[in-house]
Amino acid sequence: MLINYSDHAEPSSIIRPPPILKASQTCKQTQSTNRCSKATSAPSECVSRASAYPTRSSTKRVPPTDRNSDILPRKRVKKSSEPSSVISSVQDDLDLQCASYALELLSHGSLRNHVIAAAIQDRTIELLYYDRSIIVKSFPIDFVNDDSRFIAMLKGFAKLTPCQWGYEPLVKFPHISRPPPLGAGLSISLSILQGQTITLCNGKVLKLGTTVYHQHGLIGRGTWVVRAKVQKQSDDVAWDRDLIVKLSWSPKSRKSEDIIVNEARSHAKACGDLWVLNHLPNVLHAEDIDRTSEEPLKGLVELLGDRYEPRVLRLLVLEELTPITELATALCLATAFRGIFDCRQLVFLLR
Amino acid sequence: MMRWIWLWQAILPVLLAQWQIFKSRTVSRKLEIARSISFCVNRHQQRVLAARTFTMSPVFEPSALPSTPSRVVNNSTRTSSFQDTPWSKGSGSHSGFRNRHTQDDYKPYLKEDLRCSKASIAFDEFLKHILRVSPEWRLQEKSSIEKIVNSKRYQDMLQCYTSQIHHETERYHPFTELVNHAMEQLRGQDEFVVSFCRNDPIIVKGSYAQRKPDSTGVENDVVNEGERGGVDNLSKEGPVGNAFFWTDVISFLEFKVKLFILSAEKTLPASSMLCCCFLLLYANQLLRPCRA
Repeated sequence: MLINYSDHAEPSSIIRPPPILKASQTCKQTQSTNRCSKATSAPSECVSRASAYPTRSSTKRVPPTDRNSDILPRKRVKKSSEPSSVISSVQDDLDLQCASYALELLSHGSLRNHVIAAAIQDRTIELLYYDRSIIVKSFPIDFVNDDSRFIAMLKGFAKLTPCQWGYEPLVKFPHISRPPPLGAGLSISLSILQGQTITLCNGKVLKLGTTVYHQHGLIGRGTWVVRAKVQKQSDDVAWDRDLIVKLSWSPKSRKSEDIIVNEARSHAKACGDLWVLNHLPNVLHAEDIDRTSEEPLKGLVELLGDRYEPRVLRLLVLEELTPITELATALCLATAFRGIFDCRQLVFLLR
Repeated sequence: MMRWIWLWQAILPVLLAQWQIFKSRTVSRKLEIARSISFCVNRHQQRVLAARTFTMSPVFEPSALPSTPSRVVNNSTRTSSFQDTPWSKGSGSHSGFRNRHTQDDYKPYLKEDLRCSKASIAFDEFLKHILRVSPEWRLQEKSSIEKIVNSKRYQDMLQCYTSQIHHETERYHPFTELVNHAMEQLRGQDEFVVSFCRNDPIIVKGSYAQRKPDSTGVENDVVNEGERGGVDNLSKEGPVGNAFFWTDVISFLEFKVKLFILSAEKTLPASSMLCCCFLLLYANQLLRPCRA
């Protein structure tokens, strides 16, 4: 299907000062073909094939600092003479700071369901839990006074498995899956799924390729779209082509995307609107990986009940469609664009 | 007669619009109506000019043409990107993260996530439901807890943590040592080994955002890898030259300092303090006759 947005283009840069880039980088960005994507998902979600991640992100940093150094300027430390109004905002800053780390871990720390961490203020410690639905914070305890609770907390940390720390076992634990990161480029964790193999519930084994689209976010689906190839040749021709794997933590209560796409495709076939099939990809496989009956999600569901929205990891295997950018003439492009909107309307009406 | 009709055609909308301005509450609505009045007046002027063309040459008056309405000013604290979903304000909608990734850029998005999706629970509930440590465990393992807490290494690290500091960074290593020591005692034979170590001031690699958690929890093999050389080796400057990647980071600890010197002693709970006060008062009462 046709994609209407480029993953790396930054239209907002039109209305704001552009970031400081190396001349070579600017050139690379303009030359990189805006290879399109296909709407592999619910029509509201568009993906792009452009995975033009620069190899060094430090060049885009604002404000610019010494690129050869990993050390940031020392953060401001509170002086003991500061008034209480300043102290009251410290807690908010701490919450935001911890949330920003969790955001990076859920976005760039491999395929993760959740993050467990802690914040320490003088003699107090509070526990933090982040997943794609909720941010849970415990009330603080004085760990000097209440040493039995503190030790119980450490007991909890000590017995956690990689899965309970939040790593999705669908792919290998990061450190095992690749050589040590020492000396490797910055892009390594952006292509962390590349080369990994996943086994589907129908027995087929897929080797994952480059990332097409990756959502950077804390609360939300965290959609990840990667290219894939089936490892063993099969009788089914559709599986032997280039494939797309879409992973997203969708709310459990939501209708699965493969049902929506298949309904639209069936409706189109019945009505003779075969042009729709050029936009909506053939869904080869769909499965839901539900961890809500495992720890710690099970405990959260028990504790929070309706206040917690359980999510499942939805995996779709789709056929890869032709990028919209390969359409050369204005008429073809206009027709394709119109088709995208018509498809959107069709799916909306069928819901 | 025609003049009167034209005059009423011009005046009537103006009067109606002025009444609407008076009734409307928001400033932006008032401005919109005011603009429409000027447009009505301009249309009237154009008609007059058109009528004059029969008798005289047309005169071009730029002021008589309708103008493009001015852009509505967005008072939102953040500017939305072209690719942002209009009603979504959380971190997942921040599509410009590759160029705008400082803490200030993320603040409005993360604030929204925290505002909408934050829950606070008791420490015991966290232990029970998320870390799966039951309240009974503390009673059952009381002796082993006391053994860990009373060990010399634990007490030394606690003393080191609570002693006077000049900078927040001086607290990182004593705390991580304390945590690692206790976790080592508590861990089973084949359990997954996570060690906490100092990371600040080294930026964690693998993302556009340049963040540096104070302390990171990583797999034991990762912290000993290459030049990192273990937790103690990182205590002064973090993993200089061998920065961790986000894929290495399992967990993190973030520190904040309010007091630069702490007491390592256990303080009595409020109820115990109250009991002590009553006992002292009672003792004073008993001793009063003796003093006399």
